[in-house]
Amino acid sequence: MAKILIVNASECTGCGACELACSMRNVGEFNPSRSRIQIVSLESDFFRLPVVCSQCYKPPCAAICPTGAITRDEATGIVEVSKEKCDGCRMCEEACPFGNIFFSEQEQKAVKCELCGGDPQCVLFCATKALEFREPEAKTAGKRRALAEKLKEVYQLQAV
Amino acid sequence: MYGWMGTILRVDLTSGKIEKEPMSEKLRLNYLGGRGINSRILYDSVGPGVDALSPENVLIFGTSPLVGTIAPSAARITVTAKSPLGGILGDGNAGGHFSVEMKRAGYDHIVFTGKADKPVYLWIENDHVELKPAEHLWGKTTSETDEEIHRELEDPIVKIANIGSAGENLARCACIQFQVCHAAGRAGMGAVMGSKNLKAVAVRGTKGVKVAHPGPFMRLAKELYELIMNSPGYKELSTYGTPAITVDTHMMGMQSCKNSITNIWSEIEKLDHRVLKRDYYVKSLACTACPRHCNQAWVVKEGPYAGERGGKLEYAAVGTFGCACLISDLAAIAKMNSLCDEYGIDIMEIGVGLSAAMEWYEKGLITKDDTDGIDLIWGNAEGAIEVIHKVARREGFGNLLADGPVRAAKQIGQGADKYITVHVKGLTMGATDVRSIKGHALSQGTSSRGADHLRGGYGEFPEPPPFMLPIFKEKFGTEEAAFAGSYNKSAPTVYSENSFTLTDSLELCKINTEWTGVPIDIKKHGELFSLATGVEMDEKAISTAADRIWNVERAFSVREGITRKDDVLGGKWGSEPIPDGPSKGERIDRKKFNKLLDDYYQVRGWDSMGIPTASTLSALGLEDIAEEFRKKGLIEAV
Repeated sequence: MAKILIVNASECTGCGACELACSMRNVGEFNPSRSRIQIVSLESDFFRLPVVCSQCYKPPCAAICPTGAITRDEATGIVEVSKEKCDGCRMCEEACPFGNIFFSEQEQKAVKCELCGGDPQCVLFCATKALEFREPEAKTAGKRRALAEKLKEVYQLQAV
Repeated sequence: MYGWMGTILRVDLTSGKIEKEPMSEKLRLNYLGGRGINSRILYDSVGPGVDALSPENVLIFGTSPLVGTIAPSAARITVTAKSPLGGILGDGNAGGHFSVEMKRAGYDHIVFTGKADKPVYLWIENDHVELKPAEHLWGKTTSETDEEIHRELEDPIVKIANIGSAGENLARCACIQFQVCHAAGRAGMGAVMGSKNLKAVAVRGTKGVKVAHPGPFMRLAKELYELIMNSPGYKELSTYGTPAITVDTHMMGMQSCKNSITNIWSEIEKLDHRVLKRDYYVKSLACTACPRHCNQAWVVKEGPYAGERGGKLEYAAVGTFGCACLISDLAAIAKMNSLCDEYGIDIMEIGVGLSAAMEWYEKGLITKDDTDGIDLIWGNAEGAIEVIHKVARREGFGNLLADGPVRAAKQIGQGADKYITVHVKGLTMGATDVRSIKGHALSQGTSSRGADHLRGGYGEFPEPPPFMLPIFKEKFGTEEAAFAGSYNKSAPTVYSENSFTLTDSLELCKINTEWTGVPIDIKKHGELFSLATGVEMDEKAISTAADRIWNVERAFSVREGITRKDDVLGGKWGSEPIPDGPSKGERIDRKKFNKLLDDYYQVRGWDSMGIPTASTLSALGLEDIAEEFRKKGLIEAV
């Protein structure tokens, strides 16, 4: 099964190393405003959320693209934008519910996380494993386990 | 240009004139960035005798060629001015995310001159730079100001540095807060900002930072992340923050308690970092590009201080408010920390001031008549909180303490300064007792901004761990220097001062260097600098740059009248032995310390009065300073 980027928001410290690694890999400079992964900081609530494309199975950005520039590679699961076909109409920006594909002023094209072709650089610099690159099954299994941990106390209370 | 953005922003607050000046190659190659370039600009801008709180002082914000890159913790900022506390070079250094935002807006340094006729704040959005009115913000706390400016600018990503009431009221212990909980704490920079009627600096930048050799730079960065994450103490500091060291420091007999009347305190377990984590910490946060995430966000959940919240509750607060004032209630310490953040007060200066005041009160040097009726007995948290409010407002007893304990002691007379734990050149320092670690004691004396723990000090232990001995042998030619009690400390002290100078000039964080046992040393600083800027500097070349910066800082102070007599420790630690505990009897032996100063001056190339010699200055390319010193008769004419 193709690996995906898994975000564990509770572990994110907001250091932004992912944005720096991403922009260096993709645009050759350190510049979070051009990073494909974006950390949203809710400062006063101490909450940090890395927001990045989840490589949807049926990507709305691809469905709406009038030039057929956005496709999903069946083998790798990566949703890619063809630089040749994209004409910068920004329809995909409208279609994505999460803000994970956006128009680059510099390139005049739509850009998004393409998992660095299968070796995402952001993950390499994440100190707390807020970002992991692994099988999607692990994500859902992990969530089930976290749920079990929470419910454990409730059930134990009932047993008493 | 790689690394640097290449622009110094000059803002004259008197005329409102804003200029963008290309940063000269001379400045970049000789002083690197951050603290180094700030110090040189200060030397060139503020002549001797200028009142630190007058419009003739400058206020300089400095990033570095590494800030904004992925180099670990390249997120710091140095703010420099002539210090209103010591009257010598002053600077404060803060973390957070402001520095990278300023760099991305396109500026390596900002130099404020003059004084605005009404309160203003500076708004920078990339190339757009504008002074905006701030009368409506004057009097507001730092978090209120932060919120209000965010509302005005309608952009949650804007990063803001500002001062609270302490800076507005020219309290000499005032600091500048960045994103509320990060502080350029030391040397009274907040008072200088207040004296200029500058309430805040708000910045938003979307430009990229480029490096000369991206591939090797990324590989080195990754290597350094791993060195940090595999280093001893990584887990402790990333889980508990700096309070992780309180209990251990106490165990070694090096925690000043009750204003150094004792180094043993029966209630120390109440300040245990594990209690902090269990009862107060809610989330681990990091400065930009830092894998250490030592900032633990905290919330007080119950009791009289319920609802207080903040970040960065440091060892400085736990050690001074806690141990030195005998306040064992962590919630009260958190409240005091929070008040200092909101008013913009240096926690070290006020912490040392409060513990000295409690002893003045106990010994009868001051009474309730002086403290506005506050019963300032040991451990009185409510009283201490009341004093902090008064300091920010410069009201009654607070007016006295607002200028730091050294000036307060002068007002009180009766030898009050002898009760301050330690002071050097007008600055005091936190609660780690350096009497048993002679190299650290020396670096308090020679620190270029006055007493401070972040200017120098190389690992030394009563019983050094075996792996330290070969390191000392290799670096300094002697194993003896590794022992805390040895006075053979000139070489490691000079080395550490240079290492710290580079960390500050590249605006990295000392928590990720050899200071905490991470093998990120002078050589690694050189590698990062070279790969980022494309300017090759090996260990020797970058050490020379550090020497140059250190000598310019010294020269600034020498020009203000500083000599050998000012390099000794004032207060208790300079004269009395440690009274009890595992380090009982340890003291600074005056004769041996004098000999150590001689050794140190020799390594530095300074004369017996601590003045850089003509040959030292010219070897560093500082002929202009040598010439000035000759004219002033500070060094012999050729």
